[in-house]
Amino acid sequence: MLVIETQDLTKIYETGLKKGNITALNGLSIGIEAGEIFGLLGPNGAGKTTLVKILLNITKATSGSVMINGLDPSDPRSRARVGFLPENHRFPTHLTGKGLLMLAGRLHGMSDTEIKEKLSELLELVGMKRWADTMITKYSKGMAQRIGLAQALIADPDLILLDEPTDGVDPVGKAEIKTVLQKLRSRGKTILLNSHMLSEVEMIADRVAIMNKGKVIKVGSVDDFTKRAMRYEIEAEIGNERFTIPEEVGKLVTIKTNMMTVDLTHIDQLNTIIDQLRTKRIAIRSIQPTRISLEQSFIDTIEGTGGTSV
Amino acid sequence: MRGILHDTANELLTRKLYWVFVIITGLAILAIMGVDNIDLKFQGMGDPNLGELNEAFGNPMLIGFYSFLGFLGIIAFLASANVFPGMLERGRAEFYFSKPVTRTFLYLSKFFSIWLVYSAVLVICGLSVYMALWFFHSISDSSFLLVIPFSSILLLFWLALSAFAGIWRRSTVFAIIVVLLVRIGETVVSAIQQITPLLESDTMVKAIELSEKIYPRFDKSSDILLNLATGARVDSFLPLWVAIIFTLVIILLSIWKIRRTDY
Ligand SMILES: Nc1ncnc2c1ncn2[C@@H]1O[C@H](COP(=O)(O)OP(=O)(O)OP(=O)(O)O)[C@@H](O)[C@H]1O
Ligand SMILES: [Mg+2]
Repeated sequence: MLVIETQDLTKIYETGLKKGNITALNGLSIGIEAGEIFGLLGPNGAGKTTLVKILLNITKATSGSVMINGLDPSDPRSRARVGFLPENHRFPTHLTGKGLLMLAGRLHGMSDTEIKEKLSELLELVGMKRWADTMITKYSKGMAQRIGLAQALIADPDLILLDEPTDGVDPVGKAEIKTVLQKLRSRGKTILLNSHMLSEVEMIADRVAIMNKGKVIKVGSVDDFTKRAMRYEIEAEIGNERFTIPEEVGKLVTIKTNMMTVDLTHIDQLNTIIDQLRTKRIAIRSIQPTRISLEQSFIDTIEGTGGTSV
Repeated sequence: MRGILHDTANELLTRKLYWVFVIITGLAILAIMGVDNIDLKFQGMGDPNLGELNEAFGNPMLIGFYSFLGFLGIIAFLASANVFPGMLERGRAEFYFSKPVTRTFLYLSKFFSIWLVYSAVLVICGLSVYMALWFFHSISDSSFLLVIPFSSILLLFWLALSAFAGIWRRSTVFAIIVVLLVRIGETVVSAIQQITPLLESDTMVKAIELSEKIYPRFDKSSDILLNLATGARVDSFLPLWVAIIFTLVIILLSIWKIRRTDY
C-alpha cells in the first residue's frame, strides 16, 4: 500500500521579485510504501523540504496530485498518525522539553494520562530524560534535535517524516538516532528521511530517491545505487599470465597478479570469463560485484544531470 | 482547545508580564487606601474634560475604575502582540501546522485563549480593586462589576485587530502600529466630527455619516458600554454595532489569510 503518493507535483513560489518565480517542485512523482525507510537525497534547494511541507499542508501545491495516508493533505485527519521533525525548527521558546511533548500530544488529541504514559519512554529513547524540565531555549542544537524527534513520535505515528534529523547531532547522537530509526522500522513504521548524511541513509534506508531541481532523477534500493552495475572484482592467481577479453564479453578495467576488475556487457558473460580463467588453469579465489559509496553515486547522478540547482 | 489554551496561558505568563498586572493593581489598591474620603456626590459637568459626556460620567470613581481596566487592556494588547507573529515564525509554524488540526482551529483557539487569559486578568485585578473600594470606602455599586465584562469585550476588539495585523505581516511591530493607527484614526475622525457643523459643507457631513457606518469607533463603543453599566441613556448603538461587525469581519479575514498562506 502506498502511504505517500504524488503525481506530477509542481510547486512554484511566487517571489514577487524581478528574478521571477522559483520552481521548487517540477512534476514530481513518487510513491512510498508502508513499512519502508525511504531516503530522499538531493542538493540544497532540490525541493526536499518543499515536498514534505506539501505532504503536511504547510505549503500548498501549485498543481499535481498528492495523497498521504490515502487522504488529501488539506484533510487534517491525514496527519492523525503522522510525526514530523521540521528542518531548522524553532519550537515555542516558552516551553521545556517536557512541555513541548505535552503540547504536541494535546494537539494530537491525546489525554494527559496518555501523554504521560508515553513521555518517559520517549525521553528515554532519545536520551533526554535529564533535560526534560529545562527550557528549550537552553538546549544545544543536538538536544533540540533529540527533543524534536521525541515530539514527532508522541502520538505513536505510523508515518514519520524527518527533515535532516541528525543535523547538529554529535556522532554518538547520530548512532543513537540511527538505532531509534531501526527500532521504528522493526515496528513496521514508514519513515521518510531527508538527509545530507549519505552514509547514514545508506545504512538504514530501504529505498532511495535522488532529487534535483524539483524532480526525482533516480529511485531504487540502496543496492541499486551502490552496485556498479556490471563491474566485478575477480581474485585469482593470475601471476604474469597475459589475459585479454573479447569486446562482446566486456572490458578489462585493471589487472594485477592476483586481482582483476572487469566491466561486463551482460551478467552471463561472467561465466565466459570464469571458463577462460579455468582453461588457463588459473585458480579463482573469489568473485565480487564492486560497490561504490552512495555518496559517489549521488555525485555521479547529480553531475550526470547538469549540476546543482543553486 | 485545551492544549492551545494551556500553551497560551503558559506563554503569556512565563513572560513575567503578570508582575506588571500585580504591581499596577497593587498601586491602585494603595491609592484607594491612601484616600481618606471619596466624594461620590461630585458631578463632573463643570469639568471641561467631562462636560461632553453623559450623566453616567458623574461618578469619577467609576470612570477611574473603568480607565484602570482600559489601561490593563492596553498592556494586554502590547504583551500579546507577538503571539501570532511568533507562532507563524519559520520553523514554528511547521510544528503547529503538522498536527492533525485545521488552521482555522489553531487561529480561533489561540485567539480566544489570549482573550480568555487576559479576561481572567481583568476579572482578578478588577475584583481586587473593587474589593478594596468596598473594604476601605464601603462602595457597593453593581456598575463596577458590569464594567469588568464590558472591558473584556473592548479588549476583544483590540486583540482581534492586533491578531489580524500580526497574521498579515507576521511582525509584532506591524501589529502594534496598526492598532495605534486605528486609535489615532478614531481621534482624527472624532475631531473632524466636532468641527463639521462649523464648515457647513454637505460633502463633509455625508463623509462623516459614512465614516460612522464603517469606521470602528472603539472609543464610542467604550462610552456606550459605560452608559449601559450605569443604566444611563444611550443615544445611538450604531458605533457599538459597527465595532462588533468590524471585529467579526477581521476575524474572518484573519482566518482567510492564515488558511491561504504558504508557511
Ligand atoms: N517560502 C519560500 N519562498 C520562496 N522560495 C522558497 C520558499 N521555500 C523554498 N523556496 C525555494 O524552493 C527551492 C527548494 O527549496 P527546499 O527548501 O525545498 O530545498 P531542499 O531540498 O530542502 O534544500 P536543503 O537541502 O538546503 O534543505 C529553493 O530554491 C528555495 O529557495
Ligand atoms: Mg531542506
